[in-house]
Amino acid sequence: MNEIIFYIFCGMCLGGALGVLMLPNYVNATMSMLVSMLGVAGLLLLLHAYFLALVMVTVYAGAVLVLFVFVAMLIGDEKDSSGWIKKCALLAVWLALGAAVAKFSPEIVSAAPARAASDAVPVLAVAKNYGLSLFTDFMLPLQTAGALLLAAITVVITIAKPNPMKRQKKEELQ
Amino acid sequence: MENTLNMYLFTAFMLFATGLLGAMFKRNLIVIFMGVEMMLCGAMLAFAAFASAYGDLSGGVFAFFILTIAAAEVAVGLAIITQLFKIENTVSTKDLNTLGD
Repeated sequence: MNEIIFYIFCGMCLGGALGVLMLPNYVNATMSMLVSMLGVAGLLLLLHAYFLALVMVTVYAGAVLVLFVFVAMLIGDEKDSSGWIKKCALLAVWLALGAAVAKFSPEIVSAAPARAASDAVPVLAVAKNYGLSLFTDFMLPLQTAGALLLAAITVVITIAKPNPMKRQKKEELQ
Repeated sequence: MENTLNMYLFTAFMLFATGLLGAMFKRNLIVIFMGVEMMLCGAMLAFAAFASAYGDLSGGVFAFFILTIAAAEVAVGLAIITQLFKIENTVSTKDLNTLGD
């Protein structure tokens, strides 16, 4: 049963990703990426990383994809002009990569130590663990990420603000 | 399920490869950006798979950081794209080649 669910989510994930490569309309491509992200969230659920799956759905499907749809609609219905030869070539490369990796990749699973007893709560499942870890071992990365987010907000505001010099010039011309 | 980790890693690799192909060969800035997002997603899935297989939280925390970085990156990138569209009236890399001339 678990395996079937894995294959469903895996198919969603890879099919959606392939849709982004292949679909000519950008809004459709964005929706296809949404399917892919939901597939990744499902895979995270199967890994018992419930918190990460939740954050994935809220941040990616809730915020990032909405931004993508917004920009795709703002920019209008520019169609992807690449011909079917390029698409077929991309698909061939994609399939060849997948086949090669599936055939030649080494078995890593044997190197992994045995899992903890199955009745124990998985360490990735509890949000409290993340909080404890973030505010003890990963304090510096956390602060750096905060600084990065602040910088990103500042940059976005600076970019989005209309240039006052330019506006003055326009008014002078009028 | 015997090969769990390998299967997850394969999915993560294929997601990364799809994103890389998209970022390399597509002509539209938005799709290139979606490719970059998918690459980040693939890396995150690999982190989470290893963290789950080894029962170590560090991979999960790094996956969390990847989500943060992706969100910040999308905000900045899409702001640049909309601004570029306002100036050049196109988002195709075919036409945005002034630096290459």
